Amino acid sequence: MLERKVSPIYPICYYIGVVVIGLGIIQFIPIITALVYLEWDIVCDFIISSSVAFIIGGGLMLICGKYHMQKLGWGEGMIVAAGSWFVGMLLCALPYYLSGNYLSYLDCCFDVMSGFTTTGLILIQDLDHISNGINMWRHLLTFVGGQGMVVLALTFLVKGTNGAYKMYVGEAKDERLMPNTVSTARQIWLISLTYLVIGTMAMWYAGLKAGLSIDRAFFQGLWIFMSAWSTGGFAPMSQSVLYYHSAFYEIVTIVFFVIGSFNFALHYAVLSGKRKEIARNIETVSFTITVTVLTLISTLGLLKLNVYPNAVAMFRKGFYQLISGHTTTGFMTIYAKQFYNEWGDTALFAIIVAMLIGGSACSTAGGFKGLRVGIIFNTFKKDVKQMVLPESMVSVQKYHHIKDIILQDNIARSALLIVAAYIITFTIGTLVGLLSGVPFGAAAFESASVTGNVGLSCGVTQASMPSILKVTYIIVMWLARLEFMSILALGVYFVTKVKKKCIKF
Amino acid sequence: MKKRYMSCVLGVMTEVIFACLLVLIGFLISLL
Repeated sequence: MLERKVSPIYPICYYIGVVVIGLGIIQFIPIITALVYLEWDIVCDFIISSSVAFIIGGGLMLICGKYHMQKLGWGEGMIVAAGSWFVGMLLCALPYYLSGNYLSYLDCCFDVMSGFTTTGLILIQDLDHISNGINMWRHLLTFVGGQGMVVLALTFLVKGTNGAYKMYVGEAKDERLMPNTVSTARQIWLISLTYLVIGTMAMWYAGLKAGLSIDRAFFQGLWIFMSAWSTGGFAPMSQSVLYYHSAFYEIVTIVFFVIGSFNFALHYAVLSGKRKEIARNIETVSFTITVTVLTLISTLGLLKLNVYPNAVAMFRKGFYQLISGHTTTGFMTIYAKQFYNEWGDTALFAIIVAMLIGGSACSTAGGFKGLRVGIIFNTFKKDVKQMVLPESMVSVQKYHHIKDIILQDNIARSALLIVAAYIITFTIGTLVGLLSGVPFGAAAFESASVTGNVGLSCGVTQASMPSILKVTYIIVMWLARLEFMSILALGVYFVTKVKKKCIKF
Repeated sequence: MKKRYMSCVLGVMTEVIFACLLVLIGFLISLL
């Protein structure tokens, strides 16, 4: 007797429902924050929003629960990841919309996607006077997005491991810290929560030193840490880190966002005792080289134009923006328009390249990743060696990433493919900016910031920008963060479904 | 348990030191 095959839409919707329930549960954190500060309107907003999440998530789990043990294929796992992010964006925009701090629902969705993808660009109105509940929500979104919503669900809500690895890979992570995917997800959260405690204490102290009151120093420290660790770039004040006017505060944020840009597999190795890994790993080595070279270029560019009067200003403004861009964090110690008006082409070039290269793979950072830069460089080395050596000799190129890995053609091809996809996406983002009337330099800068999920802005991103540009940037942030494959899988799935329906008619 | 805790503490210190080294590189280049 033939077994009736169930449509894969059921397990896909089931797991999306699990993620939605998770997003509903985490809304209790801003509810508690709003209660502490007696922000009753915000409490109501989040109760409404979390109720909607529970109804929708619960409904999906109930309707599709019967078939959720069906095995998930690769495409289906990726669709769960991409679909969760899309549905999550629509639902998590609701508290923003109810708060009255946004001009449209599209702006709310933009900020949610910016948070999830740890980009950090904002369209919120009057950021300096928003409620503590909403500020907690903004930074929580970036913290959760950095780790990954699917990772969150796998850690806390999923018991079985059916298709877990396929969903995990759908969020652009492929490092196995442990043999089991659910254990890997839990390790990621354990590392993040350990640093959350250490980082919040450090930022709290820095805030007190900068002159903030005890409670403000604590909450702002918590939010700044969450944003730094997830290389998100959201800040509680519109001036970003410039608000604190403190070199110590800036240095502490640099330390945490650099650490936040590391690969989780590297964290696991170093925290488990393999401390030498930090100096041997291809990603940290390539990151150090690119930071050094690009800092030199941007410093020379800024020196040529005499932008900053002394070494301290050059460090606090020039180097800070460069490393903030390179780790794809997006914290700023200058005003947005200063990039375009004062920095000049050489320094802008360095920062655009830094934003596109980005941080480490399997981390919270964006960009096309230091690992791929290292792999491409080693591929060139291998090809040059092959040309120079006698034909009969076979050269084997290795690189070190947690362990020694032989550089094979499929690894090089995969790296080049993703880099090409980033460059094409960056080009499309720049083109849409140009067609919207943005000057070339600004369009390229903003597109690099969006494609690399960075968050530095030269003033293009604002509530008055055309809707087509907002939609483009939302799609680019989403594509870049999930590294294209899962969204392409979602797109192909829907096109296939629509084609089948059209053929039936 | 104590060994795991010490390993974690030393690991955190290693990562912080590495990040501080990058800060130092940035400052030295700024001295140009």
